[in-house]
Amino acid sequence: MNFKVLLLLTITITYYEGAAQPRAKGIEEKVQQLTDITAKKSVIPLNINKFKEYVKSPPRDYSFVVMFTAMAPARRCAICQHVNDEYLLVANSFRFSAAYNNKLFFGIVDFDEGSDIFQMLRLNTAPVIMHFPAKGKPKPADTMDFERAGIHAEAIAKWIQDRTDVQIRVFRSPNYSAAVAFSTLFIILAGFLYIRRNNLEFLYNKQLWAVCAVFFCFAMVSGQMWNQIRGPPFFHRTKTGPVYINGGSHGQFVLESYIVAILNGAVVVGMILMIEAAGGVKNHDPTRTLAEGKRRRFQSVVGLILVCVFFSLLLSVFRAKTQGYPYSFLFK
Amino acid sequence: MRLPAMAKLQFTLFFVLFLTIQTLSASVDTISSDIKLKNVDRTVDISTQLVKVVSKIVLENSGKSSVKHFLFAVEEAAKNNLAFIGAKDSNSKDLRLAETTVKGYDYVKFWRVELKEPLNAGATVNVVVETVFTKALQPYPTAITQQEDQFVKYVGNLYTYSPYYTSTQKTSVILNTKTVESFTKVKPFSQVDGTIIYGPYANVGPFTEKELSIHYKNNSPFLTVTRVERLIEVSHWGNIAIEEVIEIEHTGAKLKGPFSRYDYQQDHHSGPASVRAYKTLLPASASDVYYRDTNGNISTSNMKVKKDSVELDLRPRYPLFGGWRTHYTLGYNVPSYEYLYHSGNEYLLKMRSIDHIFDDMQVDELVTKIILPEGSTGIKLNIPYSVTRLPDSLHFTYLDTKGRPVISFIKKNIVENHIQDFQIRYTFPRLLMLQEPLLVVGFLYTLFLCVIIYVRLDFSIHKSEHKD
Amino acid sequence: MPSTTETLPSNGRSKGLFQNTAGLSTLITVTVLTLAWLAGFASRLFAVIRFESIIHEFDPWFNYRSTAYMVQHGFYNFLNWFDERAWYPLGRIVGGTVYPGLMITSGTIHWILHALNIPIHIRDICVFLAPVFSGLTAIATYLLTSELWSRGAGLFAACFIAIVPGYSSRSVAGSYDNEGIAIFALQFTYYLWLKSVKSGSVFWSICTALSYFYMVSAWGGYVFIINLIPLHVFVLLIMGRFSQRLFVSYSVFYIIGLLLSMQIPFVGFQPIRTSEHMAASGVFALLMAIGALKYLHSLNPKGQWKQLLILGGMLAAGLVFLAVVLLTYMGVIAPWSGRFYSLWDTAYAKIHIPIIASVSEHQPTTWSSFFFDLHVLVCTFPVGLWYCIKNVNDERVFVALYALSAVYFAGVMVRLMLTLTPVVCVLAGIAFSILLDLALREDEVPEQSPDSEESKSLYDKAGKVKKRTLEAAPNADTGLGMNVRSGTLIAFMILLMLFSVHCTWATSNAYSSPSIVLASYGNDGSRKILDDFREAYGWLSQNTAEDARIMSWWDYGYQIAGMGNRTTLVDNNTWNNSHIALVGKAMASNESAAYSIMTMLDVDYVLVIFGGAIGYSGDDINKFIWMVRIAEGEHPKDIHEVDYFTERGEYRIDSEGSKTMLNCLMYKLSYYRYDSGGSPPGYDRTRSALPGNRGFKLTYLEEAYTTEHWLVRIYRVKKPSEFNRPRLSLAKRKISTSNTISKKTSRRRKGALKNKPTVVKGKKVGKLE
Repeated sequence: MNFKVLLLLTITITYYEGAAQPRAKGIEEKVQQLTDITAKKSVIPLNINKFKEYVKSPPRDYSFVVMFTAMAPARRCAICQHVNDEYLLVANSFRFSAAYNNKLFFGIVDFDEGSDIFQMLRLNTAPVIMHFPAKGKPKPADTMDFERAGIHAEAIAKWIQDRTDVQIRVFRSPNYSAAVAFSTLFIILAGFLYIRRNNLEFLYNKQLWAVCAVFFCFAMVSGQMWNQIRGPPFFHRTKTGPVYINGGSHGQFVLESYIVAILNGAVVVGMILMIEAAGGVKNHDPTRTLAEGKRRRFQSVVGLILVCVFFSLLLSVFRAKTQGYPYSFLFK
Repeated sequence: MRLPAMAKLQFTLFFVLFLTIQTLSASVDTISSDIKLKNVDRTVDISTQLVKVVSKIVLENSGKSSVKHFLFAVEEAAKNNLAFIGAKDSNSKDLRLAETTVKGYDYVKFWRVELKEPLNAGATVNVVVETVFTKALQPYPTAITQQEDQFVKYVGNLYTYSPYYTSTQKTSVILNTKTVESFTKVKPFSQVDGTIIYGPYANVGPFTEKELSIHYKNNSPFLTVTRVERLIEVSHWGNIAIEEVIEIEHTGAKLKGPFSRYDYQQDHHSGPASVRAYKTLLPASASDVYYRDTNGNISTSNMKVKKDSVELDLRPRYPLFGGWRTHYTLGYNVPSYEYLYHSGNEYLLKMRSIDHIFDDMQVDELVTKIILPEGSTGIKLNIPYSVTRLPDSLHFTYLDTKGRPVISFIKKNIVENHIQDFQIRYTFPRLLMLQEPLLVVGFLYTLFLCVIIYVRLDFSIHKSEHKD
Repeated sequence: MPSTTETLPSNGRSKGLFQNTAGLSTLITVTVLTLAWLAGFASRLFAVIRFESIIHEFDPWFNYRSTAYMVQHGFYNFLNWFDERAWYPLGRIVGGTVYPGLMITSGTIHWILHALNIPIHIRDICVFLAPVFSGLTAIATYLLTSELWSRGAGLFAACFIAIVPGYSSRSVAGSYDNEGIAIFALQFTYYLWLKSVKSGSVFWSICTALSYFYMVSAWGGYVFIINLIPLHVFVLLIMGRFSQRLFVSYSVFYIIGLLLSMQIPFVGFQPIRTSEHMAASGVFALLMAIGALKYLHSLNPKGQWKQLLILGGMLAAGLVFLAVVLLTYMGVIAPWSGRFYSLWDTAYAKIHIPIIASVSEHQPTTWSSFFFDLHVLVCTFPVGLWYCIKNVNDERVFVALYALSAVYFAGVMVRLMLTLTPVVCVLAGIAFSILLDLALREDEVPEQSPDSEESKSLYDKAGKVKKRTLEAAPNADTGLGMNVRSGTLIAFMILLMLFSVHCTWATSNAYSSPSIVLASYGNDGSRKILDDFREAYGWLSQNTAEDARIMSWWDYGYQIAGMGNRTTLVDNNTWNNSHIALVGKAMASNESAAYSIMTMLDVDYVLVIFGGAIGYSGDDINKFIWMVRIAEGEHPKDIHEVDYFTERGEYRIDSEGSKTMLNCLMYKLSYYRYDSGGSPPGYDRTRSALPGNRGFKLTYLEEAYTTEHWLVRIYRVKKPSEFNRPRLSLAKRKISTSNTISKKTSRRRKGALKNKPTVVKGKKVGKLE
């Protein structure tokens, strides 16, 4: 079956070549111009009349992918920049790929150059990537859906392949930034150690290590990883005002996870306070004065309160998220 | 090397042949010409999947000498379907039956019915012979769709098949349905609702056959129990555990085409020939019943406790259409005092060799296994009807040392009339009941001893580790 | 359940009343552990009590099936078992593709019991294996913790792990899965490892290796051990805590462990060929190098050797690292496998391995599920960690590393919560024991002192404590005082109570449903059991041909094989992505295209799960989009995910739904003649919508059976002679070419032959023949 498809494809192409002669002059020179521009820069900046000429007006035998965006810093479109990079990436890798042909061109319309194009297409959001098929009007599916597909170059390429059977392998220029960052960090560290070589005591400072470890635990336990992978909103705005706690137990907001981390931290601090007040693990015998005794009593009471209050807060937050959870402590 | 084998084979062959001849020629009867059947009133009940024939026979001795017994014959066509035969006299006393043969009529099955008291010359006696045939009804058409009714065909003998001369006879066939496609019409006959009555016919000679075929609607469940394995485990601690592994197949007209749950849910007349559920009756004292298959409990069933029995309403996991099969395990406990009698060390177990599965059941093969307590000896089994006894084996379960004796026997082609008690006598020294408790005690004792010793030895290993 | 969590301190106090003897403390330890065991066992029986003794979900069914096979045919036949019932037509070599530890364990138990004439069915052994092992896990945890800190802490930890939901989630009665026994092996291996590091005795390290061997045979998670222990060694080296004990224990453990682990057929040569195991060998080499340097150093302990030592160590480390990298580059060592790689690059699976991403338990973990699984422990275990680091020694370094790595992995993947739970229990146990120990003891009436005696004597820094008891407490108010202490006590009792009730609640509500039997509760509290799965599988096993091949989505492969005892095309061991993609394609394409695939795979029956009638959300229509994605991954030309969404990119099945969606096989099989269920008739309760395409006929399949609540629907694939259609090849040819051409016409041949496409199309078809 695949074979048949291929065969058919070749046949069609050959057929097209055969039938190519009697075409209107307009096309050829348009294609010629476009190819020239593309030879210079892989993405063709379009203003209104260029857009009309190349994209809108038939006859065309090439499909056109156009990104509508607002790059001007005044527009404060953060995502535009990102999408733009990815888009350029796709365009370039098409431009320099073996599959490059003059059946597909990439264009870009910036709001500040071609605001009237936006009006013409009734676009009121940016960025938008649209595909103008060689024949016929663009269907709704010809507008790329960032929500579902994502804005990665791969996604864009896939979408393009889906619309126009042009397959584009995205060549990301290998990303050395991480490696560079690591090496610099390492060098700095090494240098630092080398400078401090005569007293490396701080490395043996258990307090430091312990703090780091515990903080790492808080980060993980409060689901920072989830945030990092799922990228939830910081918190949720509604008409009734901001919502900090995600209602469902399967989601969370960034702020929420910070709150939880703090609650956990408070409980831990409370417990440590109590333990220290009670003499600590090392059993360094506490000086037995009344003042000392008072201090320790106070300290451990504070710790106890911390533990109870913050744990029950945590519990109630959890209860709010989990439907039908029966238990609570101190607070509802 | 090969010759002896051959010889052995041949010998065994001959031996078997000889045996068979022996058994055949064991009881040979002759048809006495002076017995006549004055009147036969036959009712053939084919409203279920079974064919139950009850013939009320008025026997007349027209000879000089008195006769002690007469012969009852089953025609060749039906003899392989015969599941049960029994005879009663006028005041419904069971009469002894013995299978026999007659020279020249090898293709016919004969039973010799022993009369209670010899029948004098010229006298008459009433005898009721009941026979039950399985698989005598053929579904026709053999495959139906989900919505269709099931039609079956009965082919039998219009006349009472008997080695004697019959003066008058009458046959009424019970169908329990008016929808009859076709039936043999031999005058005089009449069709009153649900039953067809043939006869009276006068003066029918011996061994007369005339085909009687009826093609009619029969939606009663055509369930065949292809195999039952009934396990009875006797414990002298007051409990008898019974477990039955049952395989059932719907042997009616096969389901043709798709099964549609939609149709099946919409109207409850859908799938008239299918079986959703059936009732199983257990002894009244049955307790903690379980109903499961290899995948666990079959959650669709409920139990009603009546005063004389426990009624289980068993629903298989899925409705049974023609050709569909299912299998399950049904188990329960009964208190032993109802079935186990003893005097001193002599015990007597009286239980049913098969129990009720569903009404008008037909069972192809029954395997009954009785597990007696460990150490019981001198086992004697007797059963009202003939079975093939399997070699005894041993069964090991909790705390057994030398294993429990297992008595097992097989019986093929069973119907409800076979639900009768068997008896097992055995001797069991009652002291043996103490064996297992003692075993447990001893084990625990040694266990604790070991623990004590271990704890004593423990520390020598323990200490050294906490030195860092 | 609360009994256990309470027993501890109460014992702690009651103990004081008597004179403290080793025997008494042993007695208390034994009592508490036994209670923990019982509580753990009891808390895992909800499923059995509510339903019955039955194997749960999906994978357990395979484990059960192969266990039964092993019990029946013996161990060696099991190792050589080629299962032709799975992955038709490929089949599966079971012996070489499973971790046999689980089967061997329960098989051995079965064998022993039957040797004692105790006729317990293998099913029941399998069902109750995990709860029994939870008790063993508790004991192992106790040992581990008492190695790390004190026996009091050990008892706390044991009680925690006995009932903590994070662990019982994988070990309730009936969930007969590797994790059930693996966690025990994990904890026990770590305990033995710590012992061997402490003692430096070959004996203990060999024990470690053996226990590691058991772990390898039991669960793929052994990789965690074989990376964590080297990490421990490495960190110790960096901390300059090299010692002969370390040298001996690690080298012995590594060599023997390596050799043993390679005995498992499924593992084979991986330990020396894959990156997951390279850390171990690298550290081994490093350890050797440093050992050698140390030896040189010992020859003449003078001057600049120290520098040389450090330098040499670094050099060796660098060399080892380079060697590993080089080998990987040369392809001698396989790079990280996808599943492991997705732990580091968290976006990896989502892009490249949809089949991993599709599994719900491979998702990252929210804080609420952390809290759900660990409750109070989650906010107390950092305390334990804190103190472990504050007064560190060799084995506490280990537990710190354990905690940090485990907490990271748990953050990345929900299912790895399982590896986090034990260490959290350990650390929380330590925290609680420190606190209560101090709160109970301190400068107190002599009764308490024995208690301190007991726990103190087990601290490593026992020397320091000596003073404490020497100085008899002068007056109370220099110390904490009675009120504060009792307040603390009460508060923490309440916390522990909350913890235990939470555990019970979580275990009973979240983790105790055998997912093959569903229960629905009427508003009068009456319970109705929906037994459709077993109904369908029972039907399959009884009323289909012995060698019938059932096509279904891979989730149900194991169950069909286990309960239906029929041949499946794909199942839950998803080793062959393309095969799964083929099934997904069949489900996703229209009936005739699907028929060609099904005849290619000679499928006899198709089984789909349809929850619409009872509102069961986990049915195939809801999983369908994953089938499409996986299919698209392998067949990008034929399947396009976009086609299954509406124009607005929604996934819906009502009249708005996309045409492709409404005509794909899965849709048709789900809604074929579905007109019952709620009002209006044919209303889909799961999607709460009215199906868009109804009243259609099936050409190539016929309904074979549908369970009582429509949950499972089985269709029979007609033989080519059975439907009145042109023969397959023709039908297929027509369909395939037609849609390819239409695609081309719309895309490729612009302008060229605008006017006469049909003629040309005909010509093309003609050419194609």
